[in-house]
Order: sequence, then C-alpha cells, then structure tokens
Amino acid sequence: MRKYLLLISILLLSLASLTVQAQDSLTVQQSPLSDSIGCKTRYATTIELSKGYLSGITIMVREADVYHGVLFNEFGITALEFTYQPRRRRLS
Amino acid sequence: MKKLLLILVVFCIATTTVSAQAVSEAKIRQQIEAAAASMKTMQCDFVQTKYLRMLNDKMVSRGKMYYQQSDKLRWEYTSPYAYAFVLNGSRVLISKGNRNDVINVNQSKFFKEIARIMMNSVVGKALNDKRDFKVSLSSSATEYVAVLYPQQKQMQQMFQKIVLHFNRQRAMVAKVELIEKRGDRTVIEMMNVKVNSPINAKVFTVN
Repeated sequence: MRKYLLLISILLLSLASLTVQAQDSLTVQQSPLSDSIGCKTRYATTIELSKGYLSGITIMVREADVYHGVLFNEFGITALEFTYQPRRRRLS
Repeated sequence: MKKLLLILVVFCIATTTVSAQAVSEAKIRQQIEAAAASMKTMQCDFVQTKYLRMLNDKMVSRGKMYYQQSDKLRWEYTSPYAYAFVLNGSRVLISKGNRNDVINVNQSKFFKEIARIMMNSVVGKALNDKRDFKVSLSSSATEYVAVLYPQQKQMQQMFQKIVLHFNRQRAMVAKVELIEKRGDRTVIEMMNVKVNSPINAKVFTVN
C-alpha cells in the first residue's frame, strides 16, 4: 500500500505540471485539471510494477483547496482514495 | 397450571417457526443448486454501477458475460472502456487495449481464489462455499436474497459483504452487490440472460 501511495504521489506531482510535446518540438505547459470547483475528471490509469501492473480508473474532483480522488479497478474494486493539496504539494 | 400450558404452547409455536424457516432455507438452496447444476452455458449483458462514497458520485460501465460449465468464464467490459477477463481452465487472459497478459492460476494462489469465487458467485454456487462465506438467506415475493459474509482474511480486507439477488422463477443470479469495507458499493445487474444456448468456443480463447 505504501508503494502505491508513493507511486501515486509521483504520478500526481508530474500531472500537476504536465508537459506536452507538440509536433514542432515546442513545449507547452498544460494543467490537466480544471480550476473550476466541482469539476470532475476521469483518467484511465496504469501503475507499472516490477512484477506486474495495476490498471483502473481514477476519478478526481476539484474542491476549494484540494483535489479528492479515487482509484478503482475495472471491476469496481477501490484500490485507494486520496486527497491532494496543491499549495502544500501534499498527498494524503 | 395455566401458566405452564401457556409456556408450552409458546415454546411449540417458536419451535415450529424455526423449523419451518429452516425448511424454507433448505428449499431455497435446493432450487438454486438445481438451477446451477442444470446451467451448461449462460450469457448475458450486464450494467455495473460503482458508487463512490468519498466523491458522492457513481460510474456506470457496460459489458457482456459468458459462462460455460465448469471452468470457462468471459467477463468483458465494452463501455466506457475495453477490458476483458477470460478464465479457461487454469489460465486467465487479461486483455486491456493492445495489452494481453496470460496468467496461470496454479502459479498464483490469489488469482486462483479470485477466479474460483467469481465463477461460483456468477452461477450461485458460492452459497455452498462454507470455507469462503457465511451465508444468510431470505426471500421475498420476487426474489431470493443471499448475503455472503467473507471468512477468509484477504476477502475480509476487501469486502464487508456480498449480496446475491436471485430471480425467484429461475433461481438464477440477477444482481450482485459488492459492499466494500469503506462503504463503496458496486452493483452489477444482469439482463438479456440466455441459458444453455450454444457459445462459440473462440469466446473463451486464451492466447
């Protein structure tokens, strides 16, 4: 479980300042999560591990100062719930 | 004397009620077992609704299920994602997009247990799995309801309980509810059920 949390932390911190490579090699900073409160985003998620992988869906909801998220597999079984505080760059 | 007689009558009524209930539960199990035994193949569409307690939200997925007695199962999601879980004997194929992974369940105790429980739950054989579940049965006008409480530690960590709803006429599973420890719930409703229709063997191919 700690391993998954660490991997999710790395994933979220990298998502927070996503870099998109365009065809002419220009780099564009794009935030994948809207700033609108109440906005919901859904991601197909894969976490690669040395002995296999965890796949599923992550749903994130923007609230006033935090993002709440849930990762669950295709069968609907919840793997983890998390709260991300962007100002403090903290994941719990 | 009158008091003694009254106590005796109450005791008799209570005993009769308990034994009637016991007979009724036994009859329900018998019907479900008979239906499961006579089911050579089964195919259906399903709608899966995942209720997310933390986000106060839900997500709906749709798919198809194919079953062939006694060890073949294909559980395939068609929307909003493409994902297939195919069990054929001792091998499992997990297909997601372009990625296909084949697992030998004999080499993974966890997968073996998951595959067995999935198969048994779908056809209603889980009621007899005393090692895995403590079962409570009840009935209403339209359905039988079996509440399964996990007994194994790994399952207990995931689920609070599993509720199987059986169509009373056919004694077959019509709805499955998976209630997780933290309160999230997944409901799977089966529809357009076809029993004992031929199924193309390619459906269960594990490459």
